[in-house]
Amino acid sequence: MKQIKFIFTGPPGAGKTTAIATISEFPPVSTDVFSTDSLSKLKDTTTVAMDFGQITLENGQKIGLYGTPGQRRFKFMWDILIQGGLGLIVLIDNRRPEPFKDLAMYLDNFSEFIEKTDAVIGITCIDIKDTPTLDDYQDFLKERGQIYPSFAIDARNKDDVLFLLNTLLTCLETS
Amino acid sequence: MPQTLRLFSSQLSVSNLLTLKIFLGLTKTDRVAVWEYTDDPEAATAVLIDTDTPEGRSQVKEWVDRKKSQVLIAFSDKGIGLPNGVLLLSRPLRSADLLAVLQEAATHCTSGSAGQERGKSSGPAAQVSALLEETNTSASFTGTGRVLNFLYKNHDKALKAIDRVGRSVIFDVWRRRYYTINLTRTEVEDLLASPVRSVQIQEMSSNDLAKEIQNIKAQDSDPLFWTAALAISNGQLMLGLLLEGFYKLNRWPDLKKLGADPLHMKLAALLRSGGTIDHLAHFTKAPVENIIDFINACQVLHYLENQQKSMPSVSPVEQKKPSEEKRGLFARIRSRLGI
Repeated sequence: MKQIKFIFTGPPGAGKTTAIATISEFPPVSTDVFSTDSLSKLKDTTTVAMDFGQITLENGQKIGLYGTPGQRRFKFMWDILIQGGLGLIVLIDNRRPEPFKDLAMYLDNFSEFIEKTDAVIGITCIDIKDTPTLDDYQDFLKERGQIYPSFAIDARNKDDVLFLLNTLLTCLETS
Repeated sequence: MPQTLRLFSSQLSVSNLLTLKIFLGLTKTDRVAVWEYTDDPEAATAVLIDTDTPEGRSQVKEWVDRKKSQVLIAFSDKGIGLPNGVLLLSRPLRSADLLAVLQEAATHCTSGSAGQERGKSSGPAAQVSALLEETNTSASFTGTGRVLNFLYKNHDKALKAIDRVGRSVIFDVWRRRYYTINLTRTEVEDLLASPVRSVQIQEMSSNDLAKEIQNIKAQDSDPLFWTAALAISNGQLMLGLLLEGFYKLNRWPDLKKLGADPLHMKLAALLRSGGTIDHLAHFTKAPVENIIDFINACQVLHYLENQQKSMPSVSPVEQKKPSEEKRGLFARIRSRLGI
């Protein structure tokens, strides 16, 4: 039986592992290795296969929280991880050189999955680098003819992560 | 010299009476009329009666029947069925609304001289009058004639609004910022809810704007406009919006910033594909008034596509029915996460 799960995706360093850690009932099981490329300037390790966290519902049902590896070269893992996924949480690191390109890449690569489920977007590190703004992201989505809930969030903040999940659940209830 | 006028009230709750007396103090610096409270109905220039009580309604009737000379002000939620000539002060008691009504009452007392004075004014005031005239004669968004609607109509301008006691707030409407040094957030909300005629509004050039806001902290006007729009809607669509119209979002409202109301979240999700107010009310089982409040707030912040007058035969909203199983799962997840 496929496990029911939420999928967290986004570029390396966007906060997927951290976001899962804020709501998982145990510290996420990660398959991190030391960064060797330009990413090492931002973080010491990066996820190469997946992150795994979990929440258990009152009836004993387990809901998985899966974080995809960020780099596109691990796309084969994305296709495996989305099996049984309820919806997608895309985290975008605003400090990266081309955050719109990042966003477009994830929305395009997960488009079939999003079409069957839904997606929310969390922009991280907007407090560190304030451009592009949330409005710019909304304009970008509007140009693509897409309306996804998009918010500035701090992946370390449980309330922010819960807000994203709550919004995703609301969208799922109407789609 | 300003005239001193007296106000008597009847049927007001203790807290409203106390608030009223505090608000009357705001007229102390008014150039036309200073209002004081009196416990003697015969000495009063105007009488304020809470007409949402049976006693209040019968007092109004009695007052009108006796043809008393005082100006009568009805304090009411809707003001339905009020006799002609009675001024309406809407619930809840807000300083801006009260000051506007008192201004009107003072005008009645001075046989319209205040209105003539206004007409004679020159300089910035004349400019304001011209601006207001322009808005009041335009076809849309002047129904309630509130400051918020005026700002919505002038979304590409920088405007300075000055209340009756000289306190000001600058709205850089285009950049969605506001600046004030002497008004609290609640007071600015009150100002937005007040009638345009009770506030002086001046258009500012970009140079004036830059000079005036030099040392004032910019504040995000989105949450302010959102809250004000929800508060003043009273279940009535802004002029230009149709009850049977088809509404669709053009972007997702930043509900994290604007307030995470579960109904608003659900309405936003539904309005991604669009729907009519009836469909939205049917789907969410929420009162139509609440849907209208949300539509107005979205309109004020430009979150809505231009509405289509003719609605599709089947609203996209109508097609959305999550299975019982899924709804149960989502409810359990929410319950587990405490959201």
